[in-house]
Amino acid sequence: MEHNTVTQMRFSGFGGQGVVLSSIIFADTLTKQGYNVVQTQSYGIEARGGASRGEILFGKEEINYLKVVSPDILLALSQESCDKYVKDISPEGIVICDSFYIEKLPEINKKQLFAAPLTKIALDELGNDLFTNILALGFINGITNLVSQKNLEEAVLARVPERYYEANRKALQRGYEEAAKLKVN
Amino acid sequence: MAKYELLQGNQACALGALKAGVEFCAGYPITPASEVMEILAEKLPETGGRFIQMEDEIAGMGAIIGASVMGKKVLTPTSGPGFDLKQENLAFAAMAEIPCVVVNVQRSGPSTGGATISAQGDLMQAKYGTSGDSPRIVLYPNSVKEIYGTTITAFNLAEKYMTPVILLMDETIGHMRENVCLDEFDNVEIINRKFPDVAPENYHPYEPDETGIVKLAPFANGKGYRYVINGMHHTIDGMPSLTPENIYKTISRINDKVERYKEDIWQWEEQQTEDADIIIFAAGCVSRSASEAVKQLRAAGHKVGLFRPISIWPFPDEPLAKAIKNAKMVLVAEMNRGQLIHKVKEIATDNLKVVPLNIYDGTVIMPEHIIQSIKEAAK
Amino acid sequence: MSYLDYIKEKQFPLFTCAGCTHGTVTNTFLRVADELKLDKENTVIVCAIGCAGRIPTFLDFNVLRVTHGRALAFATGVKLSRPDVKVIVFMGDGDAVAIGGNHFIHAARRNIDITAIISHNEIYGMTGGQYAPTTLQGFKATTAPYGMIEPAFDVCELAKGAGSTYVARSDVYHINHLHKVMKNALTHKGFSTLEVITSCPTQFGRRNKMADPIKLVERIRDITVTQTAAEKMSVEELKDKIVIGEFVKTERPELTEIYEEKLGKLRKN
Repeated sequence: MEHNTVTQMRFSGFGGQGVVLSSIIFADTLTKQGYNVVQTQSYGIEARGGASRGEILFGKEEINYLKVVSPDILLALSQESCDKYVKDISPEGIVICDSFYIEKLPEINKKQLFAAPLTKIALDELGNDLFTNILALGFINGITNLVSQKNLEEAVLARVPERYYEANRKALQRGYEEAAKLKVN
Repeated sequence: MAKYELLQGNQACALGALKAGVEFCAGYPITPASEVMEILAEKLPETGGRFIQMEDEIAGMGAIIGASVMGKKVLTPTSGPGFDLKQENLAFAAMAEIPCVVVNVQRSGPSTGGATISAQGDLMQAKYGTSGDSPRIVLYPNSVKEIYGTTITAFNLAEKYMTPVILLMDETIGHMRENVCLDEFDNVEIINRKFPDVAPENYHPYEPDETGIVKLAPFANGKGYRYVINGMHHTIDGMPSLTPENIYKTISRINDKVERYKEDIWQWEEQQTEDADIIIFAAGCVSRSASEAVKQLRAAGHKVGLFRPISIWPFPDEPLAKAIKNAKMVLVAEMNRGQLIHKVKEIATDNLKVVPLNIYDGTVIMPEHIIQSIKEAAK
Repeated sequence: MSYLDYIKEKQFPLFTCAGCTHGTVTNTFLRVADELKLDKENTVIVCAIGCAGRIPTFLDFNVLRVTHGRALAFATGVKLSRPDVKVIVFMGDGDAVAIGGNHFIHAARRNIDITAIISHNEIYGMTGGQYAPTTLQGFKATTAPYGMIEPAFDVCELAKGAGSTYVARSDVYHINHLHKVMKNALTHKGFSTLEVITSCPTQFGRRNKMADPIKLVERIRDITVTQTAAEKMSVEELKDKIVIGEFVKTERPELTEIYEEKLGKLRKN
């Protein structure tokens, strides 16, 4: 991602998967790490049940762009969002997929594709697919190492209710570990 | 060390209002402005202020004027369809010289249009939406941090000039989050309206001193300043009057003060205009894309600059005239069918080419649109 | 003090037409104000447009005269921002229940401590005699040249339904009754509604063969019945009558007090 002074991220899925919240949490973390950050989201009919997305632009310089055009990092939690946005990615952009929902993985360079059954892990190990978005954050950071895992955890806890602290910590850690597995492979 | 935090535009507006000393907010739910009201509903009780959700937009505007008459600093947030309804009492505030801040987070119109769709369609309405010749101060920030600062400025100008001030925002910026550091506002100047400096028996609320600015005593002030506040043409005591003299005086006074102090009110930003052949004129969110376009075009060796009005009304005509004096072309980029371009054309000399770029399909104007327009126009 | 201390004498005479009975409402208010020793420094009168809305500018109070129908919206801001201040709203019937109908029902619902005095003259006088939502069927107006065809609002029933905690109706003929209920309305805590049947000889009377102001007041005498009398009358007998009296006198938590009770503790100093 050296070619861009501004890095573009898109978090996508269907309404209810919490992709907007995960983009806000990641933006919080980037802010803490001293980046200039712009975070936006799509609203409206699109965001209720249909495709939903949260976006981040960040870098060391002032950010003039108002929206993401070609993501360097695309998180797709649904087949629809994956199909819709994969064509937008930058030449060296990576796609991070939840293979639980995305049966048909995009046909791109394997080096740019990272997939794990995030929703299944959340269901099996955390007992609720509501934790998928936080698990995905850990997974993204495990792959990209853009921010410190500690700062990311603090940002997560600042945006979730106290009674879910432990579950969210676990989700974040579990996602991070899942990324490590891919690297070993 | 500077402390950065991630804030949403609408959140920055609410926090800026609190910094400015807002004491009363009344409003009606509307997308994309509701967050401003929601945050003030939570925070105002903590500062001893009051919040109420009214039965409609008209009542929201009425209630804040009522509270301002009692000496409170007041705000109401809204968007297009609600801004239509605010006009009635906005005119009252202008006529009766009651300070208040109206936030319009613009969405695509007319009518219901698109609640979360960004557009810059209310730039003329903000100035000309009401009946009669009515003054208006309209500020138009382009970033989350600037929203915080201009909200404070909006309150200061309202209190200083005893007039409503509109804070225009774009849905794009209102709903955007950015990392901001607000340390520089720690000691920001906060202006409060002046109390009368004559004895109650000599007090004529609508007879200003040489400054031209009325000093309206808050009602029920306990000091004996009792009078009438009235949306009809009025005497120096606020009594209804339809004599030519009083009609002329009322209309002149409310408008002249904004004209007279325009240099104090004007705010604008210029980027590399000194040697520019081509100047992009853009306000609100579009100015950020324009800024990026300037950067990229300069890197390619083109002499391009940016003029961005922050106060769009009163329109910064003299600063703009100065900035475009040596330019050959001005590109006016707006997310509407062409509104402020009329002001630019008024100022432009005959040998200056004024080119419009209008996108009003709900997407935002991107740097690439601007660069392409400039290239086509320069052919 | 006398009631004359509550007016701005040098602004008089009033602009109202000869024979207009809005003055009777004003007169009664001044006498009640004097009796209650209303603190004019700490009282705000809000009014708006129309004949009834303009009269308060002649009174020596803090007077906020606003846009048509919106008096209660402004008054809500006045009262909520300064709960210690007494707020009285003067309106006409068109002001209160046509253009301002929404504000009226919501002010009543909130039970905010405001007294609304509504002069009901069945017509838009200032604008030249158009029909009001209170014009009875059959009567003529400039916009009802063949007679009013719409049913009329019952302002007191509306107030009652919306939750006003004091609701009374009186008229300009029974001035002792008017005096009594106005005093009760002004001392009631919560949202109080006082509807006063008044007369407009210029715009209503002339068009309806009652140009003589005395005849109009006599009509009011003839069509009004007290609550006690009304109880003994049949539905048929009450058909063209207007009942005067106090219909609601109840207590309910008042808005600014609830605000203080629920939210006052959040204040950080």
